[in-house]
Amino acid sequence: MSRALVVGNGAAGYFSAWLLRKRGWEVILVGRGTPSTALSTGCLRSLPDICRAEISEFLDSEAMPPVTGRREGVSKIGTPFQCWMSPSHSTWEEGEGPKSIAVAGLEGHPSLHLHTASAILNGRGIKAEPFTIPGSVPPDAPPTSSFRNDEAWEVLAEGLKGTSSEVVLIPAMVHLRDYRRLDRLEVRCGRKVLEAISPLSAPGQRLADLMCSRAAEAGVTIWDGRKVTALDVQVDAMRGATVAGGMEARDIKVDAAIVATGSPVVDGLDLNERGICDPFSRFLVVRSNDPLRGGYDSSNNMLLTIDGRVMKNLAGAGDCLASKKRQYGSGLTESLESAYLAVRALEGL
Amino acid sequence: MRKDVLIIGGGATGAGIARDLALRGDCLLLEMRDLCHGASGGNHGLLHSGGRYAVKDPGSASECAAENAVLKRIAPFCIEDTGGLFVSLPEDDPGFADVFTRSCRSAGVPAWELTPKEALANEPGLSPRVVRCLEVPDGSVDPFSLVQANVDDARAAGAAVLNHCAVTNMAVEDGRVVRVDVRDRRGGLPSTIAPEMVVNAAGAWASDIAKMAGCQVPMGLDQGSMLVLDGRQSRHVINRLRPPSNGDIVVPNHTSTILGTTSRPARTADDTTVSKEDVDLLIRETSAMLPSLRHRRAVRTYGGVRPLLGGGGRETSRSFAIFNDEGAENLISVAGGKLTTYRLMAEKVSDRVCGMLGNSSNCRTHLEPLGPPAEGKGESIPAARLRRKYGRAASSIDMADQRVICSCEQVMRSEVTAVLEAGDALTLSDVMRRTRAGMGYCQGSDCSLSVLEIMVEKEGVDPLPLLKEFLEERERGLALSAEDQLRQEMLRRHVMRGVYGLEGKR
Amino acid sequence: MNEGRCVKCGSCLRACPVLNDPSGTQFPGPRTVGVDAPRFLEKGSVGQNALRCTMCHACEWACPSGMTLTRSMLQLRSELSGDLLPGHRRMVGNVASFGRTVATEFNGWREEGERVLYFPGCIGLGRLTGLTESVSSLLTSLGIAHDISREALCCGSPLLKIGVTELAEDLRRRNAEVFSRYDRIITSCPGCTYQLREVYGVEAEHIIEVLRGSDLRSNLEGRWALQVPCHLKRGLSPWTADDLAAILGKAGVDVVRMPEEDSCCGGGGGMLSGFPETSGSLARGKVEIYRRAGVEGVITACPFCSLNLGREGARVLDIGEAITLKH
Repeated sequence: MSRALVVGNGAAGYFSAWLLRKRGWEVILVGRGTPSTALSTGCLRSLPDICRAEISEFLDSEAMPPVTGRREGVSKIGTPFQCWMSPSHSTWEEGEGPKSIAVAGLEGHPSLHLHTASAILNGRGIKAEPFTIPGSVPPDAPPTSSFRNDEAWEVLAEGLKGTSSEVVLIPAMVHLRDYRRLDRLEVRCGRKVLEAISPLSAPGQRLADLMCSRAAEAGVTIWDGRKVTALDVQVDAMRGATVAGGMEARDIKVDAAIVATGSPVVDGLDLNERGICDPFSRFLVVRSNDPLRGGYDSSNNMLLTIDGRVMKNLAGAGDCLASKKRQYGSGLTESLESAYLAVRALEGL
Repeated sequence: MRKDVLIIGGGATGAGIARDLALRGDCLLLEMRDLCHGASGGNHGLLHSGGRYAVKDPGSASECAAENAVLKRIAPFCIEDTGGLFVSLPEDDPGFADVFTRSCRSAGVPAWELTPKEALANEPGLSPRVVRCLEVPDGSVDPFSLVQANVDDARAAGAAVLNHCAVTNMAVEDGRVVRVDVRDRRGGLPSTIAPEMVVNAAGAWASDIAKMAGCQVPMGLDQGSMLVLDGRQSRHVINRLRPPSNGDIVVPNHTSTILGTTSRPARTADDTTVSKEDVDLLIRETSAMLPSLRHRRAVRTYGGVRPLLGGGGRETSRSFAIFNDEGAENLISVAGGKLTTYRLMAEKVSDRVCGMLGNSSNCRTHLEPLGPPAEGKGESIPAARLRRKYGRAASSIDMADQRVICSCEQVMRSEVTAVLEAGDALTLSDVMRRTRAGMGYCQGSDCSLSVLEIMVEKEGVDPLPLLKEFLEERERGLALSAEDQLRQEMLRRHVMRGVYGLEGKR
Repeated sequence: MNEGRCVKCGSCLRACPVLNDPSGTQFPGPRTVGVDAPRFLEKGSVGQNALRCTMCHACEWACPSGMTLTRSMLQLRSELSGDLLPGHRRMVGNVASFGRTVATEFNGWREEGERVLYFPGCIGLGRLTGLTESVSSLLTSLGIAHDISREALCCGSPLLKIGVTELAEDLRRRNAEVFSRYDRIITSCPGCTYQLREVYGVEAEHIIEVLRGSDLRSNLEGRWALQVPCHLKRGLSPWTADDLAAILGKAGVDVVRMPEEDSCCGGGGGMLSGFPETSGSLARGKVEIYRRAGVEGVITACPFCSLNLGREGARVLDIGEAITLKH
């Protein structure tokens, strides 16, 4: 069995690892830190036609079933959010939106700015009813900390029964393993429960966790907390890599690899006084005035060495690749599509 | 509405005059935007010892030396008494150090020499190439805190001070200003005032204000750029021991280090733009004195427009002048000066005003404390921080709830609510200037929504325009972001633009 | 420390086991303690609550900017003014009196002049002597003759966690002399191993690393969860987590892997003695997970994990006990 190395633990990494595994490769995925995926809203703005079925299969999960279509949700400050795929409690079908929402936030906690959201929702013609969830969580603590046991959810359910709206908007407060609590909450409080669209919190982490577990289920070996510190490249083919973690480093031999290390925000690319740079110092990088668009140069997703050779068995995927069209807020979709193309390019070996 | 004296301009000069006159009589101060909108909010935060002017502008130097001591006496709470070092490097004129020393002595600027070894022991980050070093009593001052304290004192003595109130026109009859038209962003103030006297302390806008009354104020506008680095990178203020030039000064201030400055003609009072060349120059010149500066995160740029007498430029005196044109005999304009000598300027203007009004009381601003002493006995560190930021107003902040809303600057929610209760803050930036929430390395990425939430809850404000105004204001200083600050900006844009759909400046 | 890298993503806050526990609300959080508070003139403003951290390194692992948060927090902890917490004062007093953090109960000393030293650490010589005995037997059965020296004192790690640096350095000097008599040093506490490698510069091996590749048997029945110690996975090497599972798997133990297996038990960083209520709460959270999973118990490789989880009612075995336990 051929062995592939996937560098990067975000959407592009997990999806390409999963795809490779499905196609019979032995896959080791190496990653560290928190990927942009975990900082995202956990929703896909659109679904690329080319791999719609694969993405649907990849993200299909009993733990957190996704919904697709023209969807709309409310952000934690009340602004509208449109997307094509989301967890079931994040959005409604476009056109089926509520006329009034109870905005249920934690007092003084940034997980849902209930007064701002109410003001903005009212300004958009949706009647908003502010409601403070009982209990206090320090602003730096994730709200998930206080909503881990049945008792806390019972208290919440009882409180929400006191609202007059049929729909309640709550902060993002559940991990992947507890996602179905939201279904139970709906039953207990008799209201439709909507989770506020929030970046930098639980929904993004859930999506990353879901992708990780799907990859692990498929048999991908996941080396977390580790970093590829060197690549063994001979002319235009890579043969192996050095992986370091803690006080140990190991050399591994691989037959192919996908670099899905992410943007400068997550340390995937260096951003120093010379602009965007390749941390491996081996591959060509497209610099752009807009760092969002800069990244590895590629030919059909295959990376190019500094002396212009197209790598035979090393592809790039996701935010670390240069892109002419990447926008803030649509990175996830592009990353998944890019991962699919990277695997196809590798398979074209 | 009738008020004896109308002061136009809520920078250090105007606020100082308001305090001075309030202690002797009655006055109204109007500021078109927020306090410190002009040069008072775009300077280096340096409490000059006078050393920088000793050689070329000894009059200014003496003024600075005297006022430095006065301010440390009356307003120690908003001053970090870091001391200053003037250091020369091998490439600098070797004779200058002695000229400097002599000039300081004759101008009354305290200065004493340290050996390079002593200098490095006192300031470990200094370049080992330092040749000569002189220590002076420079300090770092928070201009927002200083100006607010003057305003608070003026109000306590019966003056009225209103920010977000712009003077739009003046009517002159028989050589006197008889009517002043005002536009108040809040509503509530009558749209005209008929003061006995008008004091034009509008800084870079002084010429524009004077023109409304058909008068001239001969002044030049000069822009200076500053660069804010994350973290305190020196113990002292560090100055270059050479004839005043660009990139000479490093000032530690709260949790940052401010590098400055530059000088170019400004087209208008709003021409504060900082260029990439400015940034490169500032880093290059200052890191010659403190090499590690090169490797620190550059958080933000900002510029200020200096209202200088005469033509402007580095050679122009930093002294100030009072103008009184017979075309409008009850209009006094003041131009020039420095933050360090604001109180003296205010004293001279107030003396003039009182003389013209037949008020014979004496100035007391150098005698009355502006706030609490430098240190509180047995004070906790959070309480000490509040005292440094808010002076006397610190006592109105609820210490029972210590939840932090801005992590970079460790600002408590209760500070934000206290500032809102005081009534001057209409925008997120107003809150930021008073609490420092949003001034840290994340430039409000993390706290702006939380502060906005409190404003919506307490004041019922319309959130989106406020948020957009704040983002635009912050982004003005982030256009040249690079490296880690650019990473921060990418994340901010992901959240503000990508998720919430708020457009900033491109 | 590369402190200029922070982009306020909050990943460290979401990864912190203390902040994620209802009992941890007074902890200012890794971002305040490790990034923000150090930027102020007065470092000590966060106060003793900065010590409500188990030093589990989860924040550092989560940080997308690669910041050395743990080192920064340790630096701030060492700059705190004010008195030691009562539990910490007792611990320091013990070390100053007899060279260990807790009273020594162990009496199976071996000073035979072997080439290998087994260094069990204070908890292994104090509260969990059974753990030490099983590891010692295990080493013997592997043919590794070893000393257990009375003269080897506390590694100093708990003292460094609370800024008591001089005494820690004193211990280091004395231990270095003892270590110099041996070719190989084996430990059963990941905290000690990390300290010896990182601070002493000694090539100490944790028992898991020694057991890699060995052919062992276990008589354990039923399903067992793993508690992967923080200083093993996030201190020494992430591969050790799989090593632990692999060693047990090969020995015939039915190991149940769980996503939370590498989250902190709550026992490290001086928390056990400084803030026992928070340590206990974190451990109870894990015990609840084991209960829900219906496992026999949990196997670990760290005396602090054994101690803390055991105190909250879990059935805990150290690796030495899991491998050598007879039915």
